[in-house]
Amino acid sequence: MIAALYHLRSLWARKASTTAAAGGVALVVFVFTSVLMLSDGIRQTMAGSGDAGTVIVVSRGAPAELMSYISNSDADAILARDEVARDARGVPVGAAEVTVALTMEKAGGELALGNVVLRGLGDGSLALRPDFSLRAGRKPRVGADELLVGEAIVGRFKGVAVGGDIALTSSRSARIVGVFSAGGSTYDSELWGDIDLVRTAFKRDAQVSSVRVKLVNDGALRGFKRDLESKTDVGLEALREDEFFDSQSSSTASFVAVLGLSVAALFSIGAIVGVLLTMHSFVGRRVREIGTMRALGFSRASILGGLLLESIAVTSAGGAVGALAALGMSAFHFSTTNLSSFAEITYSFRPSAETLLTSFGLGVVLGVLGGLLPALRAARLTPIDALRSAW
Amino acid sequence: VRGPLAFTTHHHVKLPDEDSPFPHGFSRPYGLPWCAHDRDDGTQRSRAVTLAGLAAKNLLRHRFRSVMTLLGLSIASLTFVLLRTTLTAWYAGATQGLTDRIGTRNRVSLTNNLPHSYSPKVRALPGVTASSFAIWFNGKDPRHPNYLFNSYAVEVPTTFGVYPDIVLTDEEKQAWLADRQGAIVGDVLARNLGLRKGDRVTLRGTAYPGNWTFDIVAVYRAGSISIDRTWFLFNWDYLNESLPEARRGQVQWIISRIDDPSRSAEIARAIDRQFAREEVPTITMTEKQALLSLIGFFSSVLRALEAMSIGILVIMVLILGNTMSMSVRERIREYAVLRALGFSSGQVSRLIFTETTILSVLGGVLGLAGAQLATALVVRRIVEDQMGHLFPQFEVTSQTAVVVVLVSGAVGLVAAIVPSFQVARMPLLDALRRVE
Repeated sequence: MIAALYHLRSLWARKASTTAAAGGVALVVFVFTSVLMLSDGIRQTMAGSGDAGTVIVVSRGAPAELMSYISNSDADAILARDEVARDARGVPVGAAEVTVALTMEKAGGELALGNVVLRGLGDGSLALRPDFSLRAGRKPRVGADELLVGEAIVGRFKGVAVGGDIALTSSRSARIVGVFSAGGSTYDSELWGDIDLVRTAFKRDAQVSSVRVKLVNDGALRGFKRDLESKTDVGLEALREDEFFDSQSSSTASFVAVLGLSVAALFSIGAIVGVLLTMHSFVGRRVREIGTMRALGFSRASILGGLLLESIAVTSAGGAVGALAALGMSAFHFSTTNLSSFAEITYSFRPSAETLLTSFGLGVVLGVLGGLLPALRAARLTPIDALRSAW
Repeated sequence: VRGPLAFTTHHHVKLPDEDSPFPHGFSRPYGLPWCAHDRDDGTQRSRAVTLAGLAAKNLLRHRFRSVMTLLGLSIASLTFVLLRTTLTAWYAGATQGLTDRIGTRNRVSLTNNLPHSYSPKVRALPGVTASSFAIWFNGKDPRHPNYLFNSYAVEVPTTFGVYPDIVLTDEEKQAWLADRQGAIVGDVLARNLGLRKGDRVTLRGTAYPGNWTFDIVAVYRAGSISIDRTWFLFNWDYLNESLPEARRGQVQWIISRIDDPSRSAEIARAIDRQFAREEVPTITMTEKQALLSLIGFFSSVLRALEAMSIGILVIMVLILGNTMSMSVRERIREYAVLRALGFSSGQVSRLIFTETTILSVLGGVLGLAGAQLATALVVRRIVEDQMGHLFPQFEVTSQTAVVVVLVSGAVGLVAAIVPSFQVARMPLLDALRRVE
C-alpha cells in the first residue's frame, strides 16, 4: 500500500514527463477509438437499413440496388408468388422500387460532387419500413413532382432542403416538400419520391431496380430463393434484406478499419517508445530509492509490480483522456462514398461500452509494453549495486 | 561524471576573448567545422569545441535513450511518409489526367446513360478530333467473386484513336477488331486473375445479368498514368446485341480527343449546349476534372488522413520534447558551468535546439528510407494490385521526401522550446553550489 502510494506520488513529482508520455498515449487511443466507432457506425447504418423479416430480390451479383435491373413482368411475377404474404385485403405485402443516383454538388464551396440515391417508392414501400417518420414539412401529393429528403443529407448538398428544387431532366425538376427519418439507416441519405415520377423522368418504364417482399413464414425463403435463382436466364437473386446491406457495408467498413487501424498500430509504436523512455529515465533517477526499498525488504516482484503500476497509471490516464475525447466525435458525422454503390452516405461515430473498454485496454497494454523493460532492469538490481547507484 | 565537459587534456576550449568581435563566443564563430583541425605547428591535434559538436557529443552519452528516441521518431516519420504518399498518390491519379481527353456523361445521374446517337454528334463538333464511347459493365469473375475490377464495353474501332496510351501491337488491334467476343485486359488485372492472351474467360454480369464469355486477345500495357492497369475492355456490339430491346443503344461515357487542350472548357461547353434542350442533358469534363470529381467522393477520408498526418507530428514533438527535457534536467550543472564560462543563455538554448534538430532530422531521414524500402518491397505491390484504380502510382515522391525532412527539422525546433525555457528558468547558481 505504501509502495503503491509512493509510485503514484513519484509520477506527480515528474509532472512534465508524465504528461508528455500520457499525451502520446491519449493521441493513439483517440485515433484507435475513433476508427472503431466509425466502423461500428458504418455497420450499424447499413444493418439498420435491412430488416431480417424482409426479402429483397435484385439482379444476381449486383453490389447495390443501383446496379440492378428487373423487368416489370418479372417483378409482377415475384409479387404474385404464393410464398409472399398477403394483407387483410389480399394484396401482396411487398413493393417494387426504382433507384437512380443523382450527381449533386456538395454544399460548402469547392466543386466537389457526390452521388445521392433517388428512390422511387411503390404503394407498399412504407409498410416495409416501420422506422419511417416525417420530421418536417409534409408528404408529397400524389402525381405532383415532389420529393422527401432523408435527414442525414439535409444541407449537405446544394439545394437539398425543404423548398429546394432538384433537377431531374433538362426540362423537369422536383421540389423537396418534407424531411423524413428512417432510424439512422442508409435511407436517411436518400431522396424519396413516387415510383412513377422516377420512372418517367429517367425512362425506367420497363424495369425496376429491386423487389422487396414479406414472406408467409421464415421457412418459405429457401424454396422462394431456389425457384427464383434456378431460372438462370433471368439472373435474379433473393436474399434477406439485412444480409444484402451487410454485404454492402463490409467493403467500406473494412476499408476504414484497415486504413485506420494500421495507422493506429504505427502510432502505438511511437507511444510505446515514449513511455519506455519516460520510465527508463524515472527509474534512472531513482536507482538509490529503489536500492533503499530493496534494502528495507521490498521484494524484486514488488519493485517490478510497482514500476509497472506506475507506467500503467500513466498510460491508462492517457487512454482514458483519448477515449473520452473520441466520444466527442459522436457529435460529428462522416460522409463518404459507399464503395459498393458509389452513393454518398452519411455515417455517425457510434460509441459503445465495448469500444471504450477495448480502448482503455489498449492504454493498459501500452503501459505494460512500455514499462516492462525498465521495470525488469530495476527489479534485477541488487540492493548493494543500487545503493552504489551503478545504473 | 562522464561527459564532454569533463574536459580531458586533448580537449581545448578557448575562453572568451576580449579582442574578439564575439564577446561571449569562441574566437571562431559558432558553427561548422566542429571537428578537429591541426595546429599551426602541426604537431598536436586540438579540437575546438563548437556548440554543434557539443550537441552531437551530448547525444552519444545516453546511447539507449538516443537510440530509442531515434526509433520512435523514425517510426513516426515512416507513418507520416506513408500517409503523405497515400494522399499524393490519390491526387496524382487525378492531377496527371490528360486535359486533351474529355468525357461526356448524363448530367443528372452517373447511373443513367446517354443515347448512342449522341456520339456522332459530338464527333462532328469543331475541335473534336476523335471520339469513342464506353459503358460500365461491372462483370465479376466467378472464380474470384470478391475481387472488384472495372470492366467496360467500348466501341473498339474508335478506342485506339482516343486512347493511344493503351499500348497494343498492330496484330493485337486487328485481332480485337476481328473478334466480336474479343477483350483486352491490363497487365495488373491479367496477373490478378491469372489470365493470358488466348484464354477464354466467362464473367458474370451484375448490371447485365447472365454469363458472358470473352476471348482475351491481348494484355495491354499502360502508356500513361491515366490508363488503369486493371481494366477489362470488350466490344460494345457484343453487349448491345444481347440486351433486351429496352436497354439497347445506350452508352455511359462519350470520350473525345480535342485538338487544343487550352480550349477544353470551351469545347466542353459547346458539347453540353448541343444537348441542353434534348431529353437527356449532358455534362462534359476533362479527364482531369472527372478524376478530381471522383476524389471529391472520398474527401472526408482524405481529410481524416491529413488530420492523422498532423497527429503524428504531435507525437514526434512529444517524444522528442520529453527526451530532451529529461536530458536537460540531468545536465543542469553542466549548463550552469557553461553559463559561468560566459556562454549566453541564447547559446545554451542553441545547444538544445541543435541537439533536438539533429535527432529529428536523423529520425526523419531514417523513416523516409524505411518508407521507401517498405513501399518498394511490399506496400506498392499490394496497393497497386488491390486498389490500382484509386492509386495508379504508389511511390514516395521527391516532394514528399523534401517535405518530411523539412517537417522533421521543424519538429526538432518545436520540441526544443519547452526544454530551453526550463534551462532559462533554472536557478543556475544553486545548481553550481549544489554538491553531489
